Amino acid sequence: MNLRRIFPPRVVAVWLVIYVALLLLPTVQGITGFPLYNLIFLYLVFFWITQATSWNILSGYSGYFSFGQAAFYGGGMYTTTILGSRYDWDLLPTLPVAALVGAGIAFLTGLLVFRLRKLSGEIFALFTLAVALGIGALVQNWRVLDGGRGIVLGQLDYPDLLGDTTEMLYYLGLTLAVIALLAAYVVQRSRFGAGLFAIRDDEKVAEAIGVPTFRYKMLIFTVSGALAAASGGLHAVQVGFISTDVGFGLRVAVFVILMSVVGGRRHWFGPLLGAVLIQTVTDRMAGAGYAEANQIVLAAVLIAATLFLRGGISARLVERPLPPVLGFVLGFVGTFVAGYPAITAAAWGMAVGLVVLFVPDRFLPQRRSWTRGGSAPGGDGDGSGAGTDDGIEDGHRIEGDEVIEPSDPASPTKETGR
Amino acid sequence: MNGRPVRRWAAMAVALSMVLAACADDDGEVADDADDGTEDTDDTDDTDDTDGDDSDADDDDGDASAEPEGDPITIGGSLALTGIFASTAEIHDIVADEYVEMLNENGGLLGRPVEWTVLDDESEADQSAALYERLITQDEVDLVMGPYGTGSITAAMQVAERYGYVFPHHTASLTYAYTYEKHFPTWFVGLNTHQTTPRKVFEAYQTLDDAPETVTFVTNRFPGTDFLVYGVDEGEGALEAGGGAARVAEDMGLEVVETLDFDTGTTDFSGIAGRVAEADADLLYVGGLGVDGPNLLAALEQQDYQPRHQFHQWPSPGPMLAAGDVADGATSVTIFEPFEPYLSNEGGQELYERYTSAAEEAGLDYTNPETQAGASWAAWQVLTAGVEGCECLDHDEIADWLLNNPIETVQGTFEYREDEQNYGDDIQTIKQIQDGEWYVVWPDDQASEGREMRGSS
Repeated sequence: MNLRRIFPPRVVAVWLVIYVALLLLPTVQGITGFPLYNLIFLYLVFFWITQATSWNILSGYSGYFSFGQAAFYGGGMYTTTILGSRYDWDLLPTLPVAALVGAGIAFLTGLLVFRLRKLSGEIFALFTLAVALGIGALVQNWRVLDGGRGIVLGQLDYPDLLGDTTEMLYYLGLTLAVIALLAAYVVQRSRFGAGLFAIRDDEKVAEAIGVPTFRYKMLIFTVSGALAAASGGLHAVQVGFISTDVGFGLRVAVFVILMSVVGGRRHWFGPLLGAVLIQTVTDRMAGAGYAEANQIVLAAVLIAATLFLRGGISARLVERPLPPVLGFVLGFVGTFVAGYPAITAAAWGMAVGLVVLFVPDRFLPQRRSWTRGGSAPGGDGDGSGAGTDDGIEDGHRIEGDEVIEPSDPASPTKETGR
Repeated sequence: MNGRPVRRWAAMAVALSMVLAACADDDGEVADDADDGTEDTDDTDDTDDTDGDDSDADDDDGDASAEPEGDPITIGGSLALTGIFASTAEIHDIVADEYVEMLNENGGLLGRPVEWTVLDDESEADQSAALYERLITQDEVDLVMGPYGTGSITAAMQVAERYGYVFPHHTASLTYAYTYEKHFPTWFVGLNTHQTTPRKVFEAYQTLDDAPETVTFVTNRFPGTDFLVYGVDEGEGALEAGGGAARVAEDMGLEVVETLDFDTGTTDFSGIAGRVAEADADLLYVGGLGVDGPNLLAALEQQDYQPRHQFHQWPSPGPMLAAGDVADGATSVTIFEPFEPYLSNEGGQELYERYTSAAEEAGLDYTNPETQAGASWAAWQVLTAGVEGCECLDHDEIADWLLNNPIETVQGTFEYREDEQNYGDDIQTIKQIQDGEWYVVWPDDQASEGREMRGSS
């Protein structure tokens, strides 16, 4: 494995700077006293990044569309809650156990569903939904787990160095988000990821060219379940009262799909963008008393992204980043200077950036259409990544510096040739 | 120039901007407020200092007709304005608006105007927790009022505890689960409501000539109703195992002939109705809420079955009346009804007049204040009594005052007991549908004028 290719030093340096800045933020908050809510808001962003990314590495990369996110998220929530409230476990040890539970649920589900070739497509989606509902019903009716009463988690012990509860949630939420993004990034840029994208494009062809499809699907499903469950376990602390409605409701399953579709399902960066955007909009709308209208707005965004942004925002952003960036900056600065809180200003900035993003190409200065394989912002542009076709609305793709026509008989698949 | 690095960095800038924008400090004006507020949040004692400086406001406190002056006291909360609990939460929304309006018409709180901020938690507990985080750490409200719905209340209480806020709440039902020393329930049902509530019900029925000897339980798997019917298991909360209407019934000599459960949100009760009719117990005990009871009765009516006696835990009062003859004689528990002696309780008449008018204006089908409105109004009375009692906004002092003083409310006198997790006596009474209206019928000394518990018709 060529680590320098996967982790170009300049890219690593930039992300490290961002990571360190985020790590220092609670300290800065303590010194400057900027509103504590910004940390809570960011924790929620981290939570959604982790959830959406965990969903996307399975459903976005391999094309196996899952509606069963709640099985892992809820499983993790209940694991932490039961271990913490009934057996007095500290918080930190509950998280790896929650991850194991999520991985176990995914593994067992995968063993069944991936063995049966006919359980693909919409059948797979329904199957995963049934698994989530089934586990929810089990928890609802089995007093050993819950029995329908709900469980109050209370305060769990954790190392003092993590600060108060808000800071602890922030640090651990950030850590889980980084782990999830790192996993998504590495998978996308590995042979493993190429295999997953090949499965998505055509599983039979993938098998024919030697991709171990069953093993790959099992592995990514298990990792996905582990990430979602660990994040759910931590989120139990934030919610405080866990019931089957909270753990196994459809909200998380719907939102991770929404975030990934809007952000871009074939880029590791897509769920991050989607999570930041949708959590920001949701937060501002709820705060302004438009929680109900928020659902309409999100539906409109999803429709627009589906119709006009094949590949999601990330693909479009990579394709032509400057106009939406300028739009975002103008929107943000304008509202921030006008006296709005930072999160509100960011929401307006994103709105302006999105509008610019939606402007058809013909209204913008003409330039040669281009895209880069696996090229999320910060990517190394080697043209080998699996996100290539997200940025190609006309079916073109790039290999090296060459634009390959879709009808080119020499390019039957995109990633599996590596 | 090679465009790729430019694009790469520009895209990176977008991501960075999005993240950093969310963290960046607010502008000068907002930041100043935030600085003050953050200190208040970190150490709620500081709010007391603020009030201490506002001596004029305190002086004005005694003059109820004076115009409130000074910075407003901000009170925040969430309610299920949308979602599964929205129809009932609307009652609490109306009460909150009316109470705050009444406060401001009568000199405000500590002589200062009161601002009430309500956010929509969409009937979801995790949303409620997030919104209380927001209210406390971003909006930096001085006080909070609990949301509606057991799940939302329980989740929000965890947040209030994290920040040391006094947490009055009106309709939480998992009494055993609330150990926060600054929570103040105003659904005054007692800590051991899983024992006291069914005992009251069965005792009331035992006064009848045709007292029931057998009972069928139909229970919503909603946490509160489940708790009331099945009690507490070993290791569940601070209470001793036991209780629950099903066990209390057996203890009091009733034969339990059937126990049927259904999930929250169930609307088709035809299957359950069939089992109820087949069991044909003397008493149908519906551990349900909202429109569970009316829906079950409609299904029973379709099967031409009329329960001889029927009790409903927390029904929507209007739909029960609208159910018609099949609901005649149905009983429930209550803590407030628009009759004496409730109307003579502190604020009872104001609640009745204001709520009825506002509910009519809002187009509610049932415009009389009852349990929900009574619990909600009492929660506001408790909160304002604590603030006025300690003449401060310090949460420790408010809690201390509330724990050491009787509080007059529309339900009667509250006395919070620390050794009972801030609960007191179970002050519920039994009401019954008679002649197409709800009346309090038990105990006798609190019954509506000329009314007493009736047996099967």
